[in-house]
Amino acid sequence: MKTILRQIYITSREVLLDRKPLEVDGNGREMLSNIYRSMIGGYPKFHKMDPLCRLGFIAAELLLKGLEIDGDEIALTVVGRDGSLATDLRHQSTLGADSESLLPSPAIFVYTLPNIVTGEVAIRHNIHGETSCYILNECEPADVARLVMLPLMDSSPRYLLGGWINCTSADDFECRWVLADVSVSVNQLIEIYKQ
Amino acid sequence: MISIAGVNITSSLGLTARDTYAAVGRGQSGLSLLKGDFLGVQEDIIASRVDDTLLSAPITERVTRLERMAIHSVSDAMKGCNAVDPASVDTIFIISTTKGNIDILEHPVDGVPTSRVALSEMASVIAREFNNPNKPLVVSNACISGVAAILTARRLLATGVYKNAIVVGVDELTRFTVSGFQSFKALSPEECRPFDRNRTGLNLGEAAATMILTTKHRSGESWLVENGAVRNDANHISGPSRTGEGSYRALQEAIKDCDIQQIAVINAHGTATPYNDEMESIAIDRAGLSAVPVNALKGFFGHTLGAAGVLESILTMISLDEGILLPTRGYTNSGVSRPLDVVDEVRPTSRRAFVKLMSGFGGCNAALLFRKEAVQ
Repeated sequence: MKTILRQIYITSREVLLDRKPLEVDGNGREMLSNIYRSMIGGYPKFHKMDPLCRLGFIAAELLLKGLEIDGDEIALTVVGRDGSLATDLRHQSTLGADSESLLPSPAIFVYTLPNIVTGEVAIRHNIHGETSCYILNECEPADVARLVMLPLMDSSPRYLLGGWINCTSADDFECRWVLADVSVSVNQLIEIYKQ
Repeated sequence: MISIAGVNITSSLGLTARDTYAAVGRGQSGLSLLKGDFLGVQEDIIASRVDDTLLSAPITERVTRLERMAIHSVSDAMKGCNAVDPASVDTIFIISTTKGNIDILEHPVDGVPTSRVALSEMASVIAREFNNPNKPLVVSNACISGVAAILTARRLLATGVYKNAIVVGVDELTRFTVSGFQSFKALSPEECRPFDRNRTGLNLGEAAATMILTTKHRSGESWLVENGAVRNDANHISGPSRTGEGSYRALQEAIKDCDIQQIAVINAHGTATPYNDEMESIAIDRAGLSAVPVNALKGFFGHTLGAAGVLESILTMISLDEGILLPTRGYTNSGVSRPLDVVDEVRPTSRRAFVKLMSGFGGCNAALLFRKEAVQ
């Protein structure tokens, strides 16, 4: 097993991969689409995803790029505050004032769960390992690190992926994820989530 | 060892675990016809609802109906559970929910800020009601939330971070959720029929259910949360895997140290959608468990979402305490491709372990192994 410790920090305005700024165009949702087009591509499903899933998809993509890691050995844990709220509001807005309104869209409804981002990342990277989604009031590094390390109590993971991800709206988001092999210490994770 | 020190079920069939179990034992179902107008949805549905006029929990601040259900559930579970102090720094609240207070987007509650739609704020209200000093944790892993929350509690206790965990699963019947499931065409126009040939989809229901876990050993016998696992299908965000991959893998991990002969029953997810039940039959068969009896309890409550994993685990526990396997209400003839021993009427058992199985959107699957043992 290779020793791996990578980190990514994404906000609506910037991306830091292993603490180095990535050259990006635009802000918010436009920035994510530009990253997809210029660095990823070939995965049309990206365009169907809601903002939270796009954010997680990009984070996982950049962290795993160039590494040959078997998806079965990854445990993915996401922690956030707002969950799927941005998409919840969209679904709610399709429900008219009376019951005669059109039925809402299943393509939107499916994203009204905060763990769908783990499903999208799992499909893309063939992760059959543990996927978990937690909600906390704030990004407290020690709390996030503890949750990301919980899958170590299971026998299968060799790599831990994930961390804080929060999407207040399509243009206002934050993601702090790591990719680490299971030898990582809780203090190492806390230091990363603090940055 | 992590043992279960207290339980509650707040459901359409009763406001305690005992009352709910007794109603199930009588073959009663909480499902009934609900007019579409009631929720503001297009079609009438078959669903189960909690009679909130009877909730008797003490309330110190303005709460939503959902929070009242959860607080009632915890209060009742605490009765007779003197070993666990909810106000202790050693106790953590873990809330399992899919949509929490989502209904306040449409129906604001006087004195409750809209910000309480945030799951973490809802969880804080529940923990605060019991003077708990710790930040509550919310598990929101679609339909496996309840089982995932119990597994998370087990891990937090096993690592010594806390000594007790109060796991509360709760979800409410709302226009938000019902309209979404209608758009998926997933709802059955009749009472659901898990694993049956003529199953036509799921019913939705609402409930709160609480399981109090502790590391404190008491003399006598206790139910233990022995092992568990979560696995992903890596296949589809809203449909189960055709090979039952994630569920099979979760099962394998959960039972790896267990003698299959000791398992009384697999309490399946059994939503009664064509794809879910078929997938579970494949997963159970692949895991070499097709000889173990299988039951599903959705015919009594519908799918209670974030509460389901906790509620169904508690009922299965009580049934084994009574020496029986509960029947799969709505099941008559097998409608899955693998040979399963689906429990269709009450059956005696002397076995003391069971597996709880769940699957959900996002491709997640969970399996938990419970066992009753004398704790030294």
